[in-house]
Amino acid sequence: MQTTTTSHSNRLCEKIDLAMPAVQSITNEVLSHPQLRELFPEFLLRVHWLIRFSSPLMTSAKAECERRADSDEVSAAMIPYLEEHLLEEDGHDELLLQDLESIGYPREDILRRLPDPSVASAQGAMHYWTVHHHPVAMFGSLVPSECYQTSMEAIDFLQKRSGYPRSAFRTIELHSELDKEHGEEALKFLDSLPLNEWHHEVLRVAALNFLAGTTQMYRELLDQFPVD
Amino acid sequence: MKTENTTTQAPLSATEKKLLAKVQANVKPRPAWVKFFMNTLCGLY
Repeated sequence: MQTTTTSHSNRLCEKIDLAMPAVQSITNEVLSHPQLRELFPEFLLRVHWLIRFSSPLMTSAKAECERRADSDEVSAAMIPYLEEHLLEEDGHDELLLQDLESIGYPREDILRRLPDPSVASAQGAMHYWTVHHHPVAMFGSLVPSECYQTSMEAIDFLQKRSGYPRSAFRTIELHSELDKEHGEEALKFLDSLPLNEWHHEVLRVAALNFLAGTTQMYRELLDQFPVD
Repeated sequence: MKTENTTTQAPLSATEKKLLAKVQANVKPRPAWVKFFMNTLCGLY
């Protein structure tokens, strides 16, 4: 059997790439929607449902890494990465609340909305694998989120079509700019870890499950805005 | 960059195939009004 050399990050991204045409098809449908002005705040709300769990997931991962560090080389190596990345992600959920407030959506109303079962299931599964299987599972949501960010060109198009002020786009703009760097850091870090097949299994399954849940969340949003 | 020897594009497991099918099931035939950014990445957000 011919063997070739590939990195850990390439192995994960090869599998994510299989799902990305579907992800991009759905997000393109959101961006192009004829009722974009009505749909856009609901889209941002769902982004908030995703982003608000980033820091809690990393905090749980860090605690689990610390518990395992003495006997687990991968967990030990993840601690400094998580310490730094937690600082980088701090406050992004608050910024998104401010973005929504800037277009007339009070935070009290946003925080009272029950997040869809699709996002709760996807994030809940991520937490389960991270805490009860291995903390490396958290890269199953971090890599699809940070390494496949929406381009500035698409954000400009979104603003123009929706007619909302730039203040509503600060978080996704920040994500577009910062995550080019964060995404590269995440992939480089994955490549530095002593991962084996057991770790790769949970990475692949966690990433695909996360994308199944998030695409379902957006599908259900689009279905609430049917076009004749 | 740390690497390891492996075959590229290992086949998907049954679980992975099922999850990929779930992702793809959320795509409907593209309506005519969808502007597709062929050269512009649109990620999750």
